Amino acid sequence: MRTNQFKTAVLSVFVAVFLFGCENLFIEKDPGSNHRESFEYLWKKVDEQYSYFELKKINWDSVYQEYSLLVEDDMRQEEFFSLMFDMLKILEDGHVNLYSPFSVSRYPELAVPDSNYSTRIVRSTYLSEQYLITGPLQHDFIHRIDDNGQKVIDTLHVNGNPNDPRGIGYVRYSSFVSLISNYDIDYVISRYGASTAGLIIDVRSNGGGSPLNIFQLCERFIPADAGETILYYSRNKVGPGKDDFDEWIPANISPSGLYYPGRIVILTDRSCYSATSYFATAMKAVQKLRDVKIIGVPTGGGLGAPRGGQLPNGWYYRMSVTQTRSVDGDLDFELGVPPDIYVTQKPSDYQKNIDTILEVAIDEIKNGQW
Amino acid sequence: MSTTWSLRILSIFLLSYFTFSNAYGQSDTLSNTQKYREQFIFFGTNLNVSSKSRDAAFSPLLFEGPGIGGGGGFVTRNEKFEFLIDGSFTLGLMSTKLAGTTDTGGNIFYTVPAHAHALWTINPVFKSTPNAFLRLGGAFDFSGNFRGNFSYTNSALNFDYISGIGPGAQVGWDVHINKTGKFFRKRDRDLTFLWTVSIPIMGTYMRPSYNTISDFTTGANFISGGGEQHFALIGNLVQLNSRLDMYYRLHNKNAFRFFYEWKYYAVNEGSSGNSQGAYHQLGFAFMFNVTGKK
Repeated sequence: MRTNQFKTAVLSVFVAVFLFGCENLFIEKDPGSNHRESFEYLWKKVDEQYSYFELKKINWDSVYQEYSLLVEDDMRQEEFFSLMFDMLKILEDGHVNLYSPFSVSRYPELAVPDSNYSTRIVRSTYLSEQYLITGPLQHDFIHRIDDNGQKVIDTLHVNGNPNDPRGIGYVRYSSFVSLISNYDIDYVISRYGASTAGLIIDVRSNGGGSPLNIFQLCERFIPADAGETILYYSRNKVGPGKDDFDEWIPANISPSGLYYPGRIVILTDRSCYSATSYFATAMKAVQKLRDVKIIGVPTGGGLGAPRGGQLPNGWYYRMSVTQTRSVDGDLDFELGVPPDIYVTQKPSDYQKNIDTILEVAIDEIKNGQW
Repeated sequence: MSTTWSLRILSIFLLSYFTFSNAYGQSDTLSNTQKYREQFIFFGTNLNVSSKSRDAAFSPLLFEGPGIGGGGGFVTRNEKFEFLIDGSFTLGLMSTKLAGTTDTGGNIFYTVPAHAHALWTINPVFKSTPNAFLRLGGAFDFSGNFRGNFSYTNSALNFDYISGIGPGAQVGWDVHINKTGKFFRKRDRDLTFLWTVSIPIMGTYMRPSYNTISDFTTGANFISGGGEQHFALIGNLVQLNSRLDMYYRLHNKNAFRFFYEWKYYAVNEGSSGNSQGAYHQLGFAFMFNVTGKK
C-alpha cells in the first residue's frame, strides 16, 4: 500500500510539472517597454537588417552616438516618436516607417505630392469624355483640340504615308496595388495594337503595390522571339553584417499574351515608388529588345523590399531588407530610376491645361529618334 | 479565459483522476478481467484556453490568446499495446499585453498539431496495482503554427513547422464502476484514464528566412517567407507534449473522449530568430468503435 502511495505521489508531481503551465519555466517575461529599450531595439534591428547603408553612405554607428544621448525614459511618447522619426529619416527611404497608435513616420521628401501629374489636365485636355476603364487601367486615344474647339483623336502618318493614319494610345495605371488581369491588358493591347503608332503608359504618382503586375505588363512588351528575359536582379539580407547578402536572383519573364508592336513611352515622376520603380527598372531591360523610352522625372526609388516588425513598446516598424539592381548593374536606381528624357511640368503650361511631360511623349512618338 | 481559470479546471480534472483511481482501484477492470482489443476513430472539438507565442524574428513581445477548433484520429489498443494517431486545428487571436494601448496590432493564429505514438505495456512497473499500467514506446509530434499580423506588412504571414520523433510514455488506469442504482450509476461504467507524454529528441523545422520575406519581387510565392527545412536535435528544437485523456464508454461500445493537452515548442536556432510557444487545450470527441469481430 505504501508503494502505491509513493507511486501516486510521484505521479502527482510529474502531472503537476507537465500539466500546469510549466511553459513559464521556458518563456521569459516581456522586455521593458521604456523608451531606452525601444530605441536600442530599433537601432539594432536597423543596424542588422537595413540593406542600403553603403549605397547611401550612412554611418549608423554615429547615428547611435547622436540619438542615444537624446533618448530619455521620461520623454512624452510624442517626443520619443518625433526623435525616432528624425533618426529614421536619415535613411532617406520611403520603405522605412515607424507606426505608433497616433502617427506614422515617413521619408518627408516623398510625402510631398509631386507636381508633375494632374488628373484634371490629362482628362480635360487629352482624353475623350468616354475614356475606358478596364480593370485598373484607364485608357483612350490621345486627343487634341481642333480649330473648332472640338476634341478629336490626334493622329500621325507613319513613314509619311497619308493613307495610314495612326493614333497614340494612352494608358493610365495609378496604383500597382490594383491587380491587372490578363483580360485587362490584352483588351488594351487589342484596342490599340493595330491602330496606334505608340502607347503612353502613365505611371506618374503611382506609389507602388504588387510586383506581379510588372510581369503582367512586361510579358506583353517583349517580342515573341525574346525567350526568357531578365528584368532585374534582387538579393536579400541574410545576416547582420553590412555585406551579408545572398546571390543576385533574376526576375525572369517570357513572352505571354498579346504583343504590342508600337513605340512605348513610360511617364514617371518622383512619386513613382516601390513597384513602380521596379517597373521602370524592368522597362530599362525591355528597352534592349524594342523601342521604349522613359520620360519625365526620376522615380522616388524604393527598390528595397520592406519587412515589418514590432518594438518592445508595441509600436511597429518596417524597413528595406533587399537590394535590386538593373540588368546593367545599376544599384543606384534605389535613389531613383533615371528617365531617358528628363522633363518637368512647366507652371506656365499648367495654367494652360497643358501636360508638359505628356506633350513631350506625344512629340517623341511622332517625331523622335528611335 | 485566464490561465489561472484554466488551471482550476485542470485541478478538478486531476483531482477526479486520483479520486476515481483510489475509490475504484480495486474494482474489476478492463485490463484484468479479460483480454481486450478495441479500436476507435474519433472526431471532436477543442478549445485552446491559452495559446502563447513569441517569435523573435518579428517581435520581442509575447502574444497570448484563446482559440477554438476541431480534430480527429484513430486509436487501437489492447492490454499490451496502443497505437494512436490524431490531428487537429485551432484558429484564434493572440495579442500582447500592450494591446489596446501602444500596440494596435494582433495575431490571427492557426495551429495544426498532429501526434502519433506506438506504446507497449511494461507490466512490472504497476504490478501491485492491478488497474494501472505503464506503456513506453515511440512518438511523433508535428506542429504547424501560422500567425498573421498585418502590422508586419510584407512579412505579415509567419510560421513555424516543427516535427520530431522521440520517446513516449503513458500511465493509464482502466476503471470499472459497478452500478449502485443511484444517479449516474444506474449501469456499470467503464472508464479509462490516460496520461501520455512525448518528448521528441530530433526533428526538422521550417522558419522564415533572415529577412522574413519571400523573393516576391522576383516572382516567388508571396507567403513563403523564404523558409527552408532544417534538421535539429533536442535543445535547438524542443517539443514537450503532455495529454490527459478520459474515455467514457457507452453501452453501445462507442465512447466519449474528454482530454486536456499541453504543448510547448521552441526553435532555438535559425537566422531569423528564436521562436517559442505553448498552448493549453481542452477537448471533447465522439469515439466510434470500429473494432470489428473479436
